[in-house]
Amino acid sequence: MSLAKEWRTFTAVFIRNIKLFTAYKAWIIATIIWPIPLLALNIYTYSALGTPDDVSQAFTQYGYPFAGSIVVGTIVYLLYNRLLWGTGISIQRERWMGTIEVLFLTPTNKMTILLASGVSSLVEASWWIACIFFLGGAIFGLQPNINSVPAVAISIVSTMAALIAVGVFFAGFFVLTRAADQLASGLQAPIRFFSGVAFPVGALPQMFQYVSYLIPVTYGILVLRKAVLQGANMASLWLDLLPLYIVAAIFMIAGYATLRIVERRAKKKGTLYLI
Amino acid sequence: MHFLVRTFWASFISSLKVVLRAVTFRGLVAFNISVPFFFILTSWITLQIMGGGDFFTGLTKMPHFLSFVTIGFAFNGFVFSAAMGGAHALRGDQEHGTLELVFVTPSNKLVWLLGKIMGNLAFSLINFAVILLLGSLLFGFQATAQPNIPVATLFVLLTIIAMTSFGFVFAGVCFIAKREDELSQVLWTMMVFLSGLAFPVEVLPQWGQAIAWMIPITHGVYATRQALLLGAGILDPAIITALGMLILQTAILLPIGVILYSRLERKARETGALATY
Repeated sequence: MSLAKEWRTFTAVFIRNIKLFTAYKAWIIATIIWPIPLLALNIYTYSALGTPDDVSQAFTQYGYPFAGSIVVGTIVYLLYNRLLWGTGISIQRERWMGTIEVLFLTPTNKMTILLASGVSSLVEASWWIACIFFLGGAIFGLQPNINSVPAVAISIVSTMAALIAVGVFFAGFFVLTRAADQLASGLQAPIRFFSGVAFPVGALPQMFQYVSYLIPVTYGILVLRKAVLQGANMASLWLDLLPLYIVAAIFMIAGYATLRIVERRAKKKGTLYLI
Repeated sequence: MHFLVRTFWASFISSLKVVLRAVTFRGLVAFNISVPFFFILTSWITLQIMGGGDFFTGLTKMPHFLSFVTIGFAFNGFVFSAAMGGAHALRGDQEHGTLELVFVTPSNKLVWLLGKIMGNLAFSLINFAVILLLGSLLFGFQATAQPNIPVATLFVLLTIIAMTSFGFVFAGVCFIAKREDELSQVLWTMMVFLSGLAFPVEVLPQWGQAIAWMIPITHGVYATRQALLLGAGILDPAIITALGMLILQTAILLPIGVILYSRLERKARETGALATY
């Protein structure tokens, strides 16, 4: 493996994706607008069931402030979503475009392509982090309780890395199943539910929580809530970061294995072109 | 006329076949049931956290929050198909490189698009029933009176017609703007937020309510809930108001939608945007 070649592949895919993203005004506008109704939807659902004081009171049993909890959940969910539709679908999109066979004929490392796609997706979505924090503070009264900036930075970077692993995992899986569109759409709502985007995972029944802790998004939300809302520092955060890294590593390895299966099948069966 | 009917039928059948191809159990669950089902589950958890629905009942006079939400999310399919089905079909042809070919044929493009939307809608009607059934089985269906099914059916049909006008506008926008996927995501989230699918419109700020009541689906969902949960009849003042508003909005929005679609289609022809990817 030549690092120089990998770097060239990485930059080529990264620049291509960024150029593609900035080529469509509608895409940029959609990216800017989307977080606003999504955050509002997550927050206003509670307004149907109690006054703002009732909602704050109800959330104290879980140890998080209401608005902050929803803001952090929404940020991680948005990033996950971008990775799912960016990295997750990237290889399947080549199939739709009729270029997948050409891609698999090149000697490039497919993992490098997926990692570059993941990083470009995060760059596209990085606006959301600032936007949601600003909205959360300006409209919904988000009051961060940050004691350690490095802990917040490490939580964000670790969560992003874990989400890239999720994207890599789904990329191979989507090509194998040939149902990327359906699966990506269908996976948004369950992940939103099980990972506790709109409520603390502790509110779920125990059986559901077992599912929650298989999903990296859950750990991402957990560490960010602790770092941003509970003032956690690195000493108290590492125990929560550890499972995030473990689950992310499992997803990354599984993604790599799935990709190898895809490549092997492509060579043996010649079914890459079949949509 | 005969030619229009043939165009509609061909487009409708083609759209229906595309949809039906996806009707495996996986496709049904993933694409059509999963989103509303998990949103209803989220509402259930929200209810658990808040410890009951007394506040909700006081606010809306509705007996049961989860029945309210189930009816709301049963409408989710209509947002997808009526408002976005046409744009999705257009974008599909654009991506496959066949849109220009369709548009050089002498067929009526409005009728062609209507056929595409109706093909999607046929399946949404089934989803509507499935979500209602699923929500009721899991969380119970509590109504204070005998549900008025004919009135509910009337409002479902009227909502579909009214939302189709949105479908024409959105399809026209996607001619020029492309990226239907990303725009649909934004439009869907806005519709769910503003039209009271997940919570009563009354909790929105005044400006939000003003926008919400301009969207036909808000009236459709409201009246359907009144009919199914409170047994409201056609002569009920709330139903008469909703009926009047839906008819008025359809009368205003449908011509606007058709005109806008035609203009945007013309612009796409002039600028060569039909075939550009």
